[in-house]
Amino acid sequence: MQIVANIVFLSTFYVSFAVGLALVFGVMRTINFSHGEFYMLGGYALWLTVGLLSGSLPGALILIIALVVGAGVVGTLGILLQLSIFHRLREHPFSIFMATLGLSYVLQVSVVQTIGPMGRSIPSVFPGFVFFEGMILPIQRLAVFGFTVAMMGGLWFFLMRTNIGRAVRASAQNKTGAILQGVSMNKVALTTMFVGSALAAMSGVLMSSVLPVSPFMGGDAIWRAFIIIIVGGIGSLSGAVVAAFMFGTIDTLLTSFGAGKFTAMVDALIMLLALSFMPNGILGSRE
Amino acid sequence: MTRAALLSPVNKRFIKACSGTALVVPLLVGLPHILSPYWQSVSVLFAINVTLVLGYRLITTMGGWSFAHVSTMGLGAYTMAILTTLENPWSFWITFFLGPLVAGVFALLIAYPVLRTRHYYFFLSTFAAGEALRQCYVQFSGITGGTYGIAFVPRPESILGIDFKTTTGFYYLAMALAVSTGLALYRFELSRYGATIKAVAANEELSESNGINTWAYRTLPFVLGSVVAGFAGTLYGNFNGIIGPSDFTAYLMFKLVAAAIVGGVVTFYGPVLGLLFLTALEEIFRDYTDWVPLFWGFSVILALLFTKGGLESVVPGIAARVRSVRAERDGGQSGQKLEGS
Repeated sequence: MQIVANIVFLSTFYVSFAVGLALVFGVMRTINFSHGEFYMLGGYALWLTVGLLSGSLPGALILIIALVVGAGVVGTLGILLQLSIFHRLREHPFSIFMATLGLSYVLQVSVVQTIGPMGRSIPSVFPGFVFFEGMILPIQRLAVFGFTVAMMGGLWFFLMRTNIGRAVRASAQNKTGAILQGVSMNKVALTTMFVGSALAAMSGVLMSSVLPVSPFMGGDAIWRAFIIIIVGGIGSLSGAVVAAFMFGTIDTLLTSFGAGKFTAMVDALIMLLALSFMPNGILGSRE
Repeated sequence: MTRAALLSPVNKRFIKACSGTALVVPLLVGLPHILSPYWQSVSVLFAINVTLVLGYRLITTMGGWSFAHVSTMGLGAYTMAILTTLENPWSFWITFFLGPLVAGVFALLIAYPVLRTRHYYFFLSTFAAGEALRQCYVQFSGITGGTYGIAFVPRPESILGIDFKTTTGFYYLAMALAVSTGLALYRFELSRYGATIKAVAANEELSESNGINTWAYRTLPFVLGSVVAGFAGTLYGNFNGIIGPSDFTAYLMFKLVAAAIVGGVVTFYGPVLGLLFLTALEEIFRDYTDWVPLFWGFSVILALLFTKGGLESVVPGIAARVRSVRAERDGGQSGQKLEGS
């Protein structure tokens, strides 16, 4: 049972990280390499908030403040990125990709220089454990799980039930068709970049309440996210969710059977096999 | 070979490139004698990086930007280091050719899955494959020495009276590899194979319907480029005398990608120019090494935003402007000006 709980925890993390990347790809048709660094900035948003407010406010409120601040700041960064690089290079998606690769190093060095290269553990916002049916569940992890599910619910509501969300989905399906229906591409692009970047930051806030934060955490996370979205089918949100649960299960099982150090190799091997037999991923459509 | 074939346009261009290179050779031979030991080491690493980036450029001619290049280079380095530090050590010169072979075989193995992807998908899948290979260097510590790596790698045995235990001797080896790689790849690109690779990159469907095995012509540059990386790897590992997983990180890979972007990949001098620019930045800010990736990152962004294809696309523009200014000053023909503007 403990394994099941661990699978669910790990999978929801993979979902929360990979979904933002898949969303941005779906609309912008390019990969935002600095997604990993946006996630890292989210982690530092929590570190700052806890450092400033710890003890004076209840834990849940601190986490919510960190979520709002992180999403706001990094979402604004996403908008700036759209205005400065994505819009100017919109005819060359591959150049955008390379530019964000450069940006990820710029952000990494900036954090190393201002805060320091050392990894830091953030004191738990929700101390304590729950024992249930023989499982040991840290309250922190339960809270993170709850917030992640709420975040995904919010994203679902945004995409399915709001007008701008419908416009985003329409642009992802057929850009020309969406423009002909009067959808403003600029507005959709700005919204997507804000939401995608904010998702990365919120994922960072939630995860760094469980894992230590460091300037290099983005690089580790984005590597796995690439595997997830390739296997899930690039640009497919549902594919990303399915693949996230698949890799969450595989990685947890490998770790609990003492083969944790081989997860990277096994995951990459699965990706290579998936590419050999299903080059479009589980739920991806043919480009 | 008949006289006509010898003087084919392709061979003429190649001979021109060879004679152009021959003019630079005396300069390259004399260089280590005027440099301090520190700058000698810098030039050795620069020559190795030139080899690497030329192999990388070959891969990009088929339209894909690999991110596994540095990990593949590690295969060459590890093959060399493992075999030359055995109880009955192998000669460096055998491993110098065996290492690239191992790198090529690895590239061939991953070619089938990763070459099914294009553009950034190719970048992402090679990124994941390369990182997994690097994890192998860390985890299979029985063979690779884990995070500590392999130390006390012996320098190559002397050949033709050149002592490779000195930095000057090693510089000649590295520079010889870089120059011969450059010429060999240039000749390869001028050949029918090179032309076909470019045709496949430009339009895969059309090439396929013309009866070209597009699969083979995308695998060929990927494997050959990895072999070149393997050569560079054997020298890189040997020059440092110690190799570990930290030598083959995304950081070095980023340097190569950045060199290819800042310099451009259409010409052969483009990536070398880019590498020169990045190395210059690195050396100028030698006392602030932590900042270097930031400068590199900004260089990449600026090159993408403000040039059409890196430094190589700026150089002809400047040359044309100089020519037109000179023509104007000399009261040249208006045709000259039109060409320049």
